[in-house]
Amino acid sequence: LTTTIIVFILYFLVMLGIGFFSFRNTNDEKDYWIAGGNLGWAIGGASIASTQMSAGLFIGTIGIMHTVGWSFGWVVLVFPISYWFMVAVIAPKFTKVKKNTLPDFIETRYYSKSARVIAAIIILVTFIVYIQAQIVAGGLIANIVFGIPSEQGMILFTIILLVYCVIGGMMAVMYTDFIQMMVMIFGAVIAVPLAIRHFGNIGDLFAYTQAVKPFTFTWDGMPPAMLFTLGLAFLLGAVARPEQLVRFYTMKDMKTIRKGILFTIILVGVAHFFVFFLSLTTPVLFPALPTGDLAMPMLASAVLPSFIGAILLAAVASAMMSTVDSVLLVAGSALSHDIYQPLINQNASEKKKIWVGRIGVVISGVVPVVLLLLGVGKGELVQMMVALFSALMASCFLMPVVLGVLWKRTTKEGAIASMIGGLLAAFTWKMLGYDAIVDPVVAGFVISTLLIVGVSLLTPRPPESALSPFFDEKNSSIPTGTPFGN
Amino acid sequence: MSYVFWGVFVVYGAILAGYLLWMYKIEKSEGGQ
Repeated sequence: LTTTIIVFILYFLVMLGIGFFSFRNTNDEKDYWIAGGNLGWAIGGASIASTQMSAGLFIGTIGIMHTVGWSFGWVVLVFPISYWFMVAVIAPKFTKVKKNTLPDFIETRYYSKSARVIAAIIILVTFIVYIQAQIVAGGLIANIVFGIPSEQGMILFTIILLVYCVIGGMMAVMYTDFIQMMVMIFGAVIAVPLAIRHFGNIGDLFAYTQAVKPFTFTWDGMPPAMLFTLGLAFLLGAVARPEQLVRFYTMKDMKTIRKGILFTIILVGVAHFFVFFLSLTTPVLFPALPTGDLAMPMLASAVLPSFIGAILLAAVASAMMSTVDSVLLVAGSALSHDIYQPLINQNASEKKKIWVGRIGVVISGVVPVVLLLLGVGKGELVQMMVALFSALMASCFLMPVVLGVLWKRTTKEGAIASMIGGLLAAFTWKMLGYDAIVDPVVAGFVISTLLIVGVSLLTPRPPESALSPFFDEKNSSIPTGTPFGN
Repeated sequence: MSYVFWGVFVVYGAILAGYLLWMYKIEKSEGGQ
């Protein structure tokens, strides 16, 4: 246990160090929200990958595969597809006018401050759900590592996250994401051979696994129809995540973004496949766990050598933190950059804007934990909470972003109707309990698509001034932002 | 071993290869402009 605590203290110190380094290099709003907008492909790609892979990968995914077998692993295919779509279809136009946040983009494309504020409010509300899911995992890790009650663990992780996010902004988030990604890869890669050695060799592992769960390598654990629905929810939700889209703004140009996404696809693949192998070991080692979510923490604390177990736990913490820091920053930007500034104080100085941003990040971090401590949002499988978040993202932002860059006829009224209608549809679907039959993403996506197309066609065409920055090919120098590409 | 096991590696690899090819084509066409 001492080894684990030392590993974690070192890990926390590195995160805080990066926070202070970034603090010294943050001079204006652009630095604070998009790390200056000049990052390279390695930091950008690793950050997208580590933000994508949350505690859900190490705890929820292992938990589900522990229960249903290998077939669930096919869901991983949605990630390279969604990244490819993002970089090929969305990024080229999305980054033509370099902004600080997704609601910023929505205001520019939909010529409407109201649309921006509505997007920001939706982000704030939905991100609380997501931060809660991740913080629960943090509490679980702290409970294992430090032996403290999970409530205290949640507070501990929130404080560490808040310190480096609040002071260092996006620069701290991107650089810590990179380190956290490396810890995740290292942890997963090093744990697999040791876990397999426990059984003999890989052939023995397969034999044991199939003896305990004969359906492990069949579609019986998770039938293709169910897999398809779940994959669809992940795919639709992955394409329009505000915390991922904003990463396109942090990278230098389209060439950097394309390379970054290649790196992302490789990292996501490697991390997932190694984690999948870990999930094969747990049904044999712990056949009678009360919940699959405990499989990974048990593996790290009871099976692996203490140092490797510590690294694996640090990897899980990294997965959680690299997601929460990004989400926190986007929630903070929604509150201060997209709600406070346009509505209350439009003429604040750069310095004041950064500090208002910091206050926004603090509020976005404290609220989910307080809600959790009050007992709101506890008790569901982590992965299922993450799945609802995906559905909400897809229902609100997918069509306004995708049609915003593809279809000139999309109007602000259409976008606003789509965001609100999509959110309500997905949420109502879940509340009515229909999510057991069909994922809420389907309801949300269908309603948001119908609304954006229908309302856009019924309302006046967008003004040319709102479209030309995104659609005018001759317009290579955009007055309101940094020109992109060659 | 069942294709449920190895199939996912093959498909992931195929998507990665497709992406590389696409990236190469874009870079080539941008370089030629």
